[in-house]
Amino acid sequence: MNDKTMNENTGQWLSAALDDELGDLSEFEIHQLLKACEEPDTLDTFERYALASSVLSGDVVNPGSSLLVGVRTGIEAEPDMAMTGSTGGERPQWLRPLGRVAVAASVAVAVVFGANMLDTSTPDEVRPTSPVLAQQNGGGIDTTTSADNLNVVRRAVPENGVTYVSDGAAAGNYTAAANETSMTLSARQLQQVRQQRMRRYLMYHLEHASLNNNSGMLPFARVSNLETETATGH
Amino acid sequence: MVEEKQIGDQELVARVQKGDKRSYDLLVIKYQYKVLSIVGRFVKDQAEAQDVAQEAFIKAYRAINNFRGDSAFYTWLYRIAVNTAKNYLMARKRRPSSDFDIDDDESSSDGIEALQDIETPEASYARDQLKEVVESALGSLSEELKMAITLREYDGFSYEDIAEILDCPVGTVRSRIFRAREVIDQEVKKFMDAE
Repeated sequence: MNDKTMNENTGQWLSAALDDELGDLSEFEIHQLLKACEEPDTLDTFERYALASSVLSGDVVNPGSSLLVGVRTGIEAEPDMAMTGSTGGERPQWLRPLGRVAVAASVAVAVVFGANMLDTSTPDEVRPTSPVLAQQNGGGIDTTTSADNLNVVRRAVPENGVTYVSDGAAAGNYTAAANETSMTLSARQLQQVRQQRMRRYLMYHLEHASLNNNSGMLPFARVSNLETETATGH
Repeated sequence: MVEEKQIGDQELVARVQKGDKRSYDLLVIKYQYKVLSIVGRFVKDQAEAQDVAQEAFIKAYRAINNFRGDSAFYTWLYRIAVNTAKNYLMARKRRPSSDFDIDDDESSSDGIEALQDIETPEASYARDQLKEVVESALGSLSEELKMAITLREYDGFSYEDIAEILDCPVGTVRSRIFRAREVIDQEVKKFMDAE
């Protein structure tokens, strides 16, 4: 044997592998063979076996025309086959339109779900007007918010807060009602109030957005920001 | 009980499909000269033929997940090599050689004659030298080793057929062919080292 690193078994396996005649090997033997093939000397031997075999078979071969290094370099950047899926390199053609339908369907579901969330059954009420922030005299802040159907008003006085009221015709009513039935709300009730107000804003937005163009999506972001700003007290 | 597996091209391909790039090395080594020989029928420049053959192997690697074993791996690889060579020639706005028809049988003796015309003298000399070395080593083998290796290489018999012809176990055939290759390899290695 030419290479001391290669034992008799490995040499015989390589020879048989060249002829596709390895027969039954245990998983351990297969592992041993592949492990041996990590050695450059073993691969060189296998390559010479293949070269001699090709010469004897009458193939046109030139010594020193090994492709192994070039092919290795070429596939170096390729992802492992296991990572690209075990079968089928590309999706079948018929799956592509199906994918588009799936995307369209999920958008439709999202729209329907979103519409349900808007709760269009909200009774006619005073259309919310632009919120205004009013600085109170005493530095204490009242957060007075409309709550028509709930008929409640949150009065909280944080240090640097701002009184938050709705302007317009409804504002006076709210204030009057608040004076009469003001009470301290729990956090949960406050959340409900906020949700009510959000729904009204969204309804208002929907009515106008449907009359306008695609930029009607913009107010959603503004409302969202407004809520955040309100929560953080800015 | 130890699980036994039939390892051959199919097993190597399956391992490549599972992400084992080492197994692809064996397939490249095993078939590179055959692929070069096929590509050489279309692309006569030796350096270009090597590039095209290399590209064919890379394409085969990329597409190996599409190989389902309906045909032999070599048959599949052969088709890729032929298509790669044809595409290369189309890209170069050249026509494939009319000397060879890919549908013809794969006898390569005609190919050798034709290629001799376009080979450099050095390449031609090296190839002839190699052939001489291999045949000389073959001639030096004992009769039983020579019989086993020639039945395999010249006549293409399977180990089982050879075992029947020589009236010996398959294991003995495997061993004899290996020993024959070992002797030949010693001479080939000397030749390659001297090159």
